[in-house]
Amino acid sequence: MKAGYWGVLWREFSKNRLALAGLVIVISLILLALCAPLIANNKPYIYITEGKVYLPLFYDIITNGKEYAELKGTDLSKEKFTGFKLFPPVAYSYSEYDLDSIVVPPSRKHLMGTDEQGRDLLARMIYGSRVSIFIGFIAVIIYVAIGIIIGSIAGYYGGWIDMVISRIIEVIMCFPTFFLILTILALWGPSLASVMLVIGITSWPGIARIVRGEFLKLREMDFVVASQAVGAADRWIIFRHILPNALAPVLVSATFGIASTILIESSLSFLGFGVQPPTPSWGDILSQSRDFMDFAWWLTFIPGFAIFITITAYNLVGDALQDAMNPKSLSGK
Amino acid sequence: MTTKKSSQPDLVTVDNLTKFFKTRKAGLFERPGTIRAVDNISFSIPEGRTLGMVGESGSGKTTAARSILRLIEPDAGFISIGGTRVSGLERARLREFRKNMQIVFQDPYSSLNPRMAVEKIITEPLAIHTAMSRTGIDKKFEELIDLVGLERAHRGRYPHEFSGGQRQRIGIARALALNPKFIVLDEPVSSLDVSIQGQILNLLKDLQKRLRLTYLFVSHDLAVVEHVSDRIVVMYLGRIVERNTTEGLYSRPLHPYTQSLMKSIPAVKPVKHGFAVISGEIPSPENPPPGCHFHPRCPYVMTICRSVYPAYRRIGYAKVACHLY
Repeated sequence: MKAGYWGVLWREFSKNRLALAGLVIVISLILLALCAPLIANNKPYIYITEGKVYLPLFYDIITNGKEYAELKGTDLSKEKFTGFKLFPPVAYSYSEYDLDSIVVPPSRKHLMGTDEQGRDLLARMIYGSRVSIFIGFIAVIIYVAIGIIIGSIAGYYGGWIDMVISRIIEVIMCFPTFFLILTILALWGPSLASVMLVIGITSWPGIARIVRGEFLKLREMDFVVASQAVGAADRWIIFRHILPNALAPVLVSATFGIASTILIESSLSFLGFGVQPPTPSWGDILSQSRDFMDFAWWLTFIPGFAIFITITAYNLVGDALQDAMNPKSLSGK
Repeated sequence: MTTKKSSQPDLVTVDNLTKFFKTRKAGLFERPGTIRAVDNISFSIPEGRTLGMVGESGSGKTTAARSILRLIEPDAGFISIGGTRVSGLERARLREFRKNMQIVFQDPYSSLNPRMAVEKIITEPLAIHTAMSRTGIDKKFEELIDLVGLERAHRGRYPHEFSGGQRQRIGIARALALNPKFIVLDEPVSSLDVSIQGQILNLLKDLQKRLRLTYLFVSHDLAVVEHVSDRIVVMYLGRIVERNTTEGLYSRPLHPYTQSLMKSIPAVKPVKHGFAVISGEIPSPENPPPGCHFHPRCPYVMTICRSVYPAYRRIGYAKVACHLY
């Protein structure tokens, strides 16, 4: 049986059914976000009229928003029965107004109902997942990178360098991150980029601490000493021996980090500091729904539930990863 | 085995090796604590021979072994291996020289990187020191894996897929990769089953004969040391208390500490001892007893032992630090 470290990890991980379900949700959400324009769009995939074949949706994507010149003025919407049209599963765009159906409950026409401007909620939810996942991943990648670099330096060199870095970490960990983010956004002005950047540069101390601890532990291990004994350079030892072994707990932390970043983004959008309209985000949809909470339950329930499911899925995956990495389950067997 | 071995030239010479560790920072009213882990030890190993280094845990034997390879930077002392003054090498030259001296570790679990396949582990030294081609490394790998008695087909496996004994063979193969002259064996069989210990010891002896290796064999297990060593030094609290040939040490141990160690070897046929097997714990190396470090546990303790550390006395080939002689 040929199984590397990751193979064994996967075997342990897949024993946990709940975590597998979480992983399926996480992967589906990522696919959904990546393919959002192909799933929710008011342009048809194929439009055949008068013996000519058009691909309006793909044309739109490839040319970045242009229309076929000969189709200008043609109403391509689903209700107009002209020619053959094949629509995506959700035949609405996130910003398409339909003033005839404002705040309509879920029905066959609008599976998740519509909002106060008659926009299809399902289309907005699908596009909203892009923001959550994009912010989650980019912000986490930023702070994991910062954390690994700073933690490695502290852990490998030790001494006064470690002292200084550890104190800085402690100071930053004392900051109430959420309010720090609010303050910085108030100065910079809210935008997708600044939300990611601010989360990225304020959340690294946790990762740095983990990496530092792993380095301190690993640099005393015999296999590191063995590498020193054959005359390996510091760089070789860090990148071949210490870092690969220190990454597993970072992965766990990053998984939880994505969950909490999505939550922070939702909260910021809810408060109006996040992504600016018309780009939909789950927190923003939730925020808009406040005025209609009494009678339009779907406007509150659906984005709230989506946030809940997403966070839970990431946390389940993170938990199971942590269990799978337990040295007991990895030792020898 | 014969006793006349001194005809071989010495490959390894260690003189006055010393390593102290600081235990805490100096406070306002206290001096920093120091552990005299290795305190002025000297010995030499003839080429192709094995020196056994025996002592309880805390006697400083592992620190001594690692200081000789400068994996721990010694505070003072002279180390020469194959005519090169290792103690004086600066960083880059030391890294280059490391291919001549290697180490095999006690714990075959922590001494192999869990994320690396066996092939990568064993050939790592080659990747660091040589500009060998892929096929050259492949050939050397097969040579090494045959040498230590593992299967070539296992090249892609990871450490956790092997037993303790097999892992130790992997560690030995890695140590041999650069054809070193001198290998420190730091308790190489202590964490293995007794049935496996014999196999590994025989492998080590066999390799020594075939490759003309010089060993420093560190162990707390006198039975194991007797099996492999030509000469033995006994360490107690950072100092060498007795040096002797293996035959001499086992037939007539001189130092009372060596005597009590001998009596603590479990025998198939138990014999009645003249005095109790070594009593008490090894004292803290941070605060060793004055005079002879062994006096609180010594059955022959005299007044002078409590105040003066005994000088080495030569008795035949042996050297011993004890006021009895």
